[in-house]
Amino acid sequence: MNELYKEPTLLTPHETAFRTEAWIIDATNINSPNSYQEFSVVFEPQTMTHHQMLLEHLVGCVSEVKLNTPFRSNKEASPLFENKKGFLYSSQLFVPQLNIEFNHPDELCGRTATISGHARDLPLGQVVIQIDYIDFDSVTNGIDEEPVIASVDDEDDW
Amino acid sequence: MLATTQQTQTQKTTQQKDYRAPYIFVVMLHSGEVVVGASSNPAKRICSINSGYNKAVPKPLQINKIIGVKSQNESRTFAGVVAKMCSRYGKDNVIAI
Repeated sequence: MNELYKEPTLLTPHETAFRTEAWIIDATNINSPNSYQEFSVVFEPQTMTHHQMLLEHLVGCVSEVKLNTPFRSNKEASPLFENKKGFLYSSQLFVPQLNIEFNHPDELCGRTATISGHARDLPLGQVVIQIDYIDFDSVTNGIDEEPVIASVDDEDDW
Repeated sequence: MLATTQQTQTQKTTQQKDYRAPYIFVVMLHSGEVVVGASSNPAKRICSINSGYNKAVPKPLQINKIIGVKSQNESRTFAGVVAKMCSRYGKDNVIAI
């Protein structure tokens, strides 16, 4: 078989790992693949610092693919992680790990989470985001309910 | 023989084009207030609001959740969305950016 169609990936998860605090915008295809048989999560970093750092990191990954592409290669480095509204989205063939269980993906929309992922280049050179782990923040922001004080039985109090 | 040239006066006409941002976004703050804005890059705009870079929301990390981001067209305008939010949440609870 022609070796041109067996081009290895240039980006490795270890070198392109990132972690950011983000809102989950759309989690419809978080555990069920879309029409392209891909699992996808749309998210957005919470602050400009996270947004800028993540974009610079991803653009750096695109540049790395451009620089390390062999002479005879079908790869053309291009970003494939930002939609028209400016939100970032992942595109992967495996389900990301979550720290919670849910009944329906709509429960996850709008929640804040810490997203750990990496960048990966496709056979034709497009750079995509792949999410490894999503750590959802607690809905109550860590504030526990007031402890229930058990009633004291005077007869046993001796 | 010198040819006479007719000088025609040209009038410069300028057409005012009303800029309409492609997207309208609505977010809710921790205080319960609703922020309505329009931008070509709503994600970046929401990030900047949450970072405290907007005079209307000077304190950072105030956004509780993103209610929605939709495209602006003839049926859905910025003024219409602001009016709808005012009728739903009250005039005092809506911030138009």
